[in-house]
Amino acid sequence: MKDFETALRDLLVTQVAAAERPVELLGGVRLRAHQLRARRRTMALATTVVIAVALVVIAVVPLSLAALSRIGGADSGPSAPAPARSGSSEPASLVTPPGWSPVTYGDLQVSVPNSWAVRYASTGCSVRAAGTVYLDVTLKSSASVKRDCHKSTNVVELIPPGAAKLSIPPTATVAKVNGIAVLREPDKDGLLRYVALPLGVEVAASGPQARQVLDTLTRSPLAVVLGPGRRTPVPASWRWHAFGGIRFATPAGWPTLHQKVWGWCGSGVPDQLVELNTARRDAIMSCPDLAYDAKRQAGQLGIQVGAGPAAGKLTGPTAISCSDSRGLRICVQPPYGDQVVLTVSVRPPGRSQPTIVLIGLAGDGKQSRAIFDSIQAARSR
Amino acid sequence: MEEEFCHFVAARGASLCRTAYLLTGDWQAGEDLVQEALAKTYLRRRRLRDQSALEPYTRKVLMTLFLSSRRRQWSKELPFAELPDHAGAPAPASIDEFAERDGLWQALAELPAQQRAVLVLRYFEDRSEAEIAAALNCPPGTVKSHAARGLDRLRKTVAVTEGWPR
Repeated sequence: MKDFETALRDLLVTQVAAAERPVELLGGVRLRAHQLRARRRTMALATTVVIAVALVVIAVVPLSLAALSRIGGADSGPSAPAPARSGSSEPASLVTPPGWSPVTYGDLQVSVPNSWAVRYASTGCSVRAAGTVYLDVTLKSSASVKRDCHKSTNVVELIPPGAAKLSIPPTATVAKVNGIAVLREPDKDGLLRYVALPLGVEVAASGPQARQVLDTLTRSPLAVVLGPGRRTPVPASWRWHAFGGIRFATPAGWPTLHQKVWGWCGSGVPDQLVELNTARRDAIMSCPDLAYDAKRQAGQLGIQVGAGPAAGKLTGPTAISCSDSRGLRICVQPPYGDQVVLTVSVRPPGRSQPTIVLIGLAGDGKQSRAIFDSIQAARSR
Repeated sequence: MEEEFCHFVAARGASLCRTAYLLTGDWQAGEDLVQEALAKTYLRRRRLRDQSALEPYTRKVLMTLFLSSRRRQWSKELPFAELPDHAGAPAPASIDEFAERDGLWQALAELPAQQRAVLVLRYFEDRSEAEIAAALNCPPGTVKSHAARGLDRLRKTVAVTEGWPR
């Protein structure tokens, strides 16, 4: 009889050999990463709301309003005296109708009704929804979407440059949609197909709202922020902040929040807030599961600046690009999968660790670009 | 998703799934566990010191997820109520060997999660005690005792039905 430990070893190898099958993990990993981020974002929002409510309560009690105004983290730039706070400053994107949300994919963006599902094609069919946007569609996943997914009346497929249709049928026409040249194929069996020529991404849409969706095709906010062009001037009404060795400007209406905890649910930034973070360690977050619809996955405007050791860990060795300007070395970090936040690491002179700036990507991208372009070295006192 | 991470998943995904299968006893559940561990690693990847830290970190997350999922399931269900399919397994030489193999597999499934994890890491992955201790976040002494208790329990359970030497 075999030695018991050898028998156990043999058993484990045999069982694995019997059960092993080809694995396709990436789609599931993407989906789970999205869900984990969404959970974190919800937790962060809940924390922000609690803090905001607490601040309001403190402000309403007539104890020391003047003292409160002195402990704010913002300073006014010389050319931009702090004006009265306005209300919401988020510019509505011209191409996203009310009740719709943008879905970004690389440099491209389309908008769909808020309730539509958004999924990576490799993760299978959506729950029942009036419409579904499938990201990262390849020839293989497109076939399975067509074969297995009949739950949505409207289907939009976003196909990456590598998998986009390269042949140009003689019947195709070139048109401009929101300033972007597209190759448009004639309607065939209810399927509309556009190839955004400068971006290389193909969009295929079917269903009663296909045309409406394709009419919202535009550049993503990330493409606007990182695109070529002159530096965007800071609007006179904006407020300047100094923190972590840098200065930057934001719309005046955004409240400032000082945080000592680094970690949030989701990949976005808190909505229309300036978060100045000095956390030493990451928070351990436990975020609730969320259904993934167009509204929830959309980015929002806001900025998070981390000057503590926890934020410094975000910098990887592989920055997309670095430049020396405005007295700083500014490096753009690779985007996370859903591209609703731009991560920038800045190394201010005389500081041993970088300051991390997370800029929310939303709307037409112009506000995000103005914030990005405003980053400069803080003045020495 | 970043290219480097995709390469890591392509290169090491199958190996992670094998370990996860032996932990959970079900290929699909193992794949789910691996996806969850990879998603957590992906979100943390920039905080790791370099690419070589990806696999140890993922394996550690995998173990933590497995142990915590077993703790949550403990009062609700026993995941090994039915034996997994053996279709495609190398044919046993005899009915006795088939019975031995099934008996041992069933006994392994019924071990407490920590003991099962230690045995899988030791006898499938050939990990040292120190490596297992690091993966399970416990002292090497605990690894030793889990291994000894797990083996002892397997021997006893199997010996009752199959006549293995104790």
